[in-house]
Order: sequence, then structure tokens, then C-alpha cells
Amino acid sequence: MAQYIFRRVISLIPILIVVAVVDFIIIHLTPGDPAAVMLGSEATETDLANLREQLGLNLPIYIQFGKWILGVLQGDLGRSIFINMPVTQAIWQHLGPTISLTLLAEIIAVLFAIPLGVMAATHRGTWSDQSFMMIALLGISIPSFWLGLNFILLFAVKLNWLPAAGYQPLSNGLVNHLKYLILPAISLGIMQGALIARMTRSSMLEVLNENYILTAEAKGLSQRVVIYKHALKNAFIPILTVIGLTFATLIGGAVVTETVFNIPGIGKLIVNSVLRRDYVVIQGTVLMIAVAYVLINLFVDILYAYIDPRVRYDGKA
Amino acid sequence: MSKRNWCIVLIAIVMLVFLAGCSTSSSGTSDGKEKNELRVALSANPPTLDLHRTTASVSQQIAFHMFESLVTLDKDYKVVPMLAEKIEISPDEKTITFPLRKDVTFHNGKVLNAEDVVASINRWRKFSSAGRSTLSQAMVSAKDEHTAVITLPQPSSAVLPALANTSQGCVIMPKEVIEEAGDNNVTQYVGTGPFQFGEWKQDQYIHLKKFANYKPLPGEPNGMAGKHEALVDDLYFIPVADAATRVAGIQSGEYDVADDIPYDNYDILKNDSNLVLTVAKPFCENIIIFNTKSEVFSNVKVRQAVNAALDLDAIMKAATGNPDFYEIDPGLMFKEQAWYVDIGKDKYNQKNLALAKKLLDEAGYNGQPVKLQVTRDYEYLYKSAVVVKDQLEKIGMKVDLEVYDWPTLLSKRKDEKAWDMSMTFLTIFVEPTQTLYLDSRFNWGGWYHNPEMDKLLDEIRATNDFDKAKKIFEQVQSLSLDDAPIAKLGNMHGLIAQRKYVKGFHFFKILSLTNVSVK
Repeated sequence: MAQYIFRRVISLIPILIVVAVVDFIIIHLTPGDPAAVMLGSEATETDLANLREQLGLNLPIYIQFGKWILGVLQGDLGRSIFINMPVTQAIWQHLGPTISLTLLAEIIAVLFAIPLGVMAATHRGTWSDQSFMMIALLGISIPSFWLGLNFILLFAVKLNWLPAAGYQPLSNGLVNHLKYLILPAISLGIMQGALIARMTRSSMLEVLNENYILTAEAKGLSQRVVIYKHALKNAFIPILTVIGLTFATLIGGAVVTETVFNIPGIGKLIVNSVLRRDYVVIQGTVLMIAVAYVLINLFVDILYAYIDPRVRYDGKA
Repeated sequence: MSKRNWCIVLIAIVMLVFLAGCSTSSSGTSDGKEKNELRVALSANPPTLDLHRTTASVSQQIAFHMFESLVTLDKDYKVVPMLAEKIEISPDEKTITFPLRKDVTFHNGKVLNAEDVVASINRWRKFSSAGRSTLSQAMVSAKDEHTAVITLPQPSSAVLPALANTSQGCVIMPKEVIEEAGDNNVTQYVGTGPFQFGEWKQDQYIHLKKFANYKPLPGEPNGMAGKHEALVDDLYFIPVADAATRVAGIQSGEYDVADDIPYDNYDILKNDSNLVLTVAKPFCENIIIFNTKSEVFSNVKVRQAVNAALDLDAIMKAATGNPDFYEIDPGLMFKEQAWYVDIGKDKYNQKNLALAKKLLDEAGYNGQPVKLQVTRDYEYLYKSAVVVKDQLEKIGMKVDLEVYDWPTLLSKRKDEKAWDMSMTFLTIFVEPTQTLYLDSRFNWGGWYHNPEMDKLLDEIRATNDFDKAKKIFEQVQSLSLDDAPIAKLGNMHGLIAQRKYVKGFHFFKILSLTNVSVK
């Protein structure tokens, strides 16, 4: 196992190099000028030229890349042109809201998706199974921003139960923290939940036809024990894969939801940085997301072995 | 009911109780709030709060609560003292003396002195185009601790308006803060205004706190001049890029003031008894810049043809959807300004397709495609552009609409080969010589250059006799309509929403929360 983890960590290096190079090239190929954004649309060409020189934006692109990559190798992702702080600090500041939102969305998704998926599988072909399939399809199809806007209209504008947008850190109290996150988390969680629920159903259906389930039932074990102890545990690996993937997607992909609900997370940082062409922040954040994605997948792989003793990666099994 | 179903019902009840407990309403003001703060939703994130370094209007909206300038604008857009006690102009009009108010302290406790003023003006004139154009040859000095002096090589009427302008405003900061910043943006926001800097949580809010030692000017508020006070303890400026979220936030009470409300929401919001709407005017003018270096638009007759063809009512109606939000006016300056003249109105909003076609023929235009740049980041510009394209195609022009995001458009506009026409908006210029597209030495936009225009603008700058300057300005406006460096589409107003308990809100040039209370 240790060897496997070591190999995976080493394999991160070429992935991250490719991400860094592609990331840098794409961003710098995109037209746009940070100096023009910073100075405003009424700035004159003289002012723009002066600022570009001051920021080093007039240097040849390979020199800019060299300087950046050298910094990255020393753990320095650079300094934001606009927000006047190191990129690592900017990412750290924006990470909290994204982690909270992602965790809550994932908890909501898992809490609803797994029982519903199991129920649909155990009631295969009945009206409840068909309704579940329809709801899951709807959940996958509805864009989270549309759902979010409608939640805002209903729960914030009409009922005035929850705030329309914004964010309060956990340090301001759990209820305060949750009341700002619950709507975006539900609108994000529904789509992810629908994916997990469909995977739970199909995976359970496969397992429920296995001989050892029939044996367990023949032994007179209760339905609950058969389903949750024997069937679900064995059906869990593909479900876990989907949970891991959705979690990784949410870390970097809650961009629209964060914008609609005005949550100052990583997604918002990326959008704002793209809009103002804050190159170093975009580069650093994309690199960080790539690292997170790979690490989450690594973590999921390790969990496989924990859940299913048949899975061994060190070649001894 | 089975045990499992009971569990589901129980979870649902707990969630409902939680949601009800999260209800945002509390007690206090007329619609249920008790607070001494204002939460203001803005449509953009400021690039910086260092006003010497940016023309971005969102930066002005926030920073002018913290910073003040030597002189400012009254409600008639006349320059009046602010941090200066008075303005003394020597008989030869080459020396402007500013005795400073002695009761002014910076937010860091330091008393304002002339050295701070000299350092601020020197920094401002280094970075701002208005500063360079008016003060590049001037000497700025401290006569004594409380008197700053500007000595000019020749008289200029443009200096005071430039010092009073809000765009890239010449705000006064402590000398030490300026020295520490060097050529970089200042990192300490220390001014003399009614609010002081609290905290900038990136992408969350900018918090300003009431400055307890602020000494307001006596008298009534008068434009940006007169008495301005902080009537609440805290201001939170919250960047909310999504317009639908801003609207929902002001409706739900999450925000107390919301800027840049889409016009489409006007009818819904005006019927909301919890809200008051402010139509902000004068606000900005929408224009098409012509690239005078392009193959087609280097010919003045083509530019005149476009101006002759356009039906501006249709364009502005498409942009705003409501005649309450625009006015069609030929003036280079706004009606509210003393400089306003309507010279040349017969050449404006002509809707004369026959004349336009004739001018195109005379110009030798033979149907080559022209590129019209626009962005959807400002939807009203895009809507205008669609109508402009349609109208120009009626006179036989072939128009390619090129839609970019705003930073890309700004970047492409610097490339003279990349565009022919570009849609944009301009905020209020305090006096005519600041008009970016007229003076070739600003090197802005479409590179319009007419030595005669530059000469007229210099003549305005060279006199302190307003009546004489205004006569010259009439020639400027007339020449501008003849040369057509731009097509002015119309003046557009802004729409700002406030909760009903927000009292004393006013709009003058920028959104201001001074003299605003929560009752």
C-alpha cells in the first residue's frame, strides 16, 4: 500500500507540469490586458504602457513563464496584481467557503441519494422505483444556477426565511454559517445526489442478484441486515468512485453557484481573476485544483482497499 | 406508518424548524431592521482603492467616502473648496494659492498640512492623464505649513476642474503613505473623509467605519461639497456581479442599497412597498467610437454618414427599454453643467437615410465589411449595437458585430487594425478639455486628430474667463459634430434601489452614502 501511495504521489509531478504549461499558455493566449482593467476604460495609452512596464507585462512571454515556474518550484505561486497578496494567501482565503459548501452539498447528496438509491433497487419495477428514476433524471437535468435562483426567489424573497446571498464564516456561529450555505448546498447537492443515487441503484441491483445475498436471505437474516450489511457494503466501491468524483468536481466546479449566491469561494476567485485577467491567480488556482483533484482520487483509491479487503495495491494479495 | 417513514417525517420537521429559525427578519426599523450600518451591493469589484491610479467608477464610489480633495464640485458642477479653505488666484492668473483648513486630520491622527498636499498632487500628476495635461509644467510647493501653491507657466482654466474631478481623483493622502508606496499602489488607505478604512475581504466586502474625528464643512450638502457626514457607523460595500442576485438581495433585505439595477426590473421593484428607487442622472453617455485610422472610417464622410443615418430614439429605447432612463441630447456636456450648449443639434439624431447614402457615395464606400466591437458585459451596449447594425445595413453598410468580454474588448481597442467602430460609455467630464476623444494628445480611443480642435481646447485651457471659454467651447462642439470622432447615442441614467428605511440617499456624479441614515 505504501509503495502504491508513493508511486501515485510521484506520478503527480508530470501531471502537474503539463497542467502548469497548458494553464500558462491558454491564459496568456486569451486576449485582454490586466493594466486596462486596473486603470479603467478611460485610461490613456500612456498610462497603460507605464503600468504594463511596472507590472512586467511587457516582458517576453517565455521570460514571464520562466519567472513564474521558478517561483512555483520554490512553493511561490506569485503575487496577485489586483488583490495585492500572495496567490497562496488568496487561495487560502477563498478555500474555506468552497470546502464548507462542497462538504455540505456532498453530505446532503449522500444522505438523500443512498437511501433513495437502495429503496429504488429493492423495489425494482414498482411505482416508487419509477418515480425515483424520474426524480433522479430531473435532478441531473436541472441546472444548479436555475435551481439556485428559484430557491432565492422562494426562500429569501417570498418567505424571507433565508438570506438571498452572501457568506458568513464558521467563526460567526454554526447556524449563521449554515443559513448562508444551505440553499447553495441544496442546489448543488441535488445534481450530485441524483448521480450518486442512480449509481447506488444500479450497483445495488447487480449485487442483489448475487448468490451470497440469496444465501444470506436463506439463512433467515433480516431484510435490513441483508441490504445494509451484505449488499450495500459490497456495492459501495462504484458508489464511492462517484462520490469522490463529484466531490472533486465540486471543489473546482461550483463556479456558477458561487456566483449566483455570491459566495467568496475558489470558483468566484477564478471567475473574478479571469474577468480582470489576473494571470498569476488563475494559474495558481488552476494548479491548486489539479492537485486537489488528483489527491481526492488518490484518497478514494485508498478507501477502496479499506472497504474491500480483496483490493490490494502492493502486489502481495 | 413504519419506523422508517416516521424518521423521514421527523427529519423534515427538524429541517423546517431550522429554516424557520434562520428567518432573516429581526426587529427595529420600519421594515423590521435595527442596525447602524449600510450594506451596499455593487456590480463590480474595485481593482484598487488608490484613486490616483484608476479611472474605474466602482473605485470612486467606495474611495470617495474615505478620501477628499483640495477642491470639489457643487451641485452646479462648479469648483469649490473642500480641504482648501479658499482658492486664491493671482492677478496674472498664473499662481493658485490654497490656504488649507486647519481643523482637518487624517484617519491616522496626523493633522493635514501643505506637504501632504504637495506630495499628493505630485503623485497624482505623475499617474493621471488629467494631471499630466494640466500640471506637467507647473510647480507645486508648500508656502507654509497650511498653504499650498501651484505656479503655472501660463494661466489655465483646466487646473481646478482637473483637481476636482472624481475620475482618477486628486485625493489628498499623508506624505508618508505616498513615500512608502513609491511607484506602486498605496496599501494604506488613509484619507480625511467621513469614513475610514476598516477591512477588505476579497470578493466578500469592503468595510468602512465612521471616522469619529471628522469635521464636516458647515452649511447644507451641495453636490459633493458642503456638509457631508457619516450617519451610520459601518458601511459594507459588497461586490455582487450577478444582477439577479442584487435584485433578490435588495428585495429580501440582505442589502440596504443596490447599485446598477437592470432596467427590466424597474416595474417590479417600483411596486415593492419596501423599496425606493432612484434614477441616477446625469450618469453617463453611450457612444460609438470611430477608428479614424481604419480604412473606412478615416474618411470623415463615412463618420458623418453614420451620424446622419442613426435613429437614436430607437437605439436608446432598445438599450434601456424605457424612455425614463435616457435622453437624446447633442451636448458634449450635460444639461446640468454650466458648460452645456446645444450648438449643432441639426446634425444630431437626423434619421436621414438619403443624406447618409449620399455621404457614403461621396466617400467612395463600396460595401466593404466594417467591424463593430461590443461587449455583453454591459447588456445595454449590446442591445444598442444590434439596432445600430440594423440601421447601418439600411444605408448599405455591411456591419460585422464582434462580441467580446470587456477586458478583451479593451485590449483589442488598442489595435488599430482590429476594429472600425467600438461601443462604449463615458462618465461625466467636469469641463470640456477633459473630453478624452477630442484632444489628440490623450491618445485615446479612435485616435481622432485635428490640430484645429487641439488649438481650441488649448484656448479654453488658457483662459480663466468662463464666458470667453464657453464661446470657444461652442466652436469645439460644432467642430466635433462636423468631424464626428464619435457618434453620441444618448445620455443614459442609472437605476439604484434602496430599502425604504434608508433615508437621505442622493446621487451626484457617484453613489454616495454620506448624510444617509437608517430610520
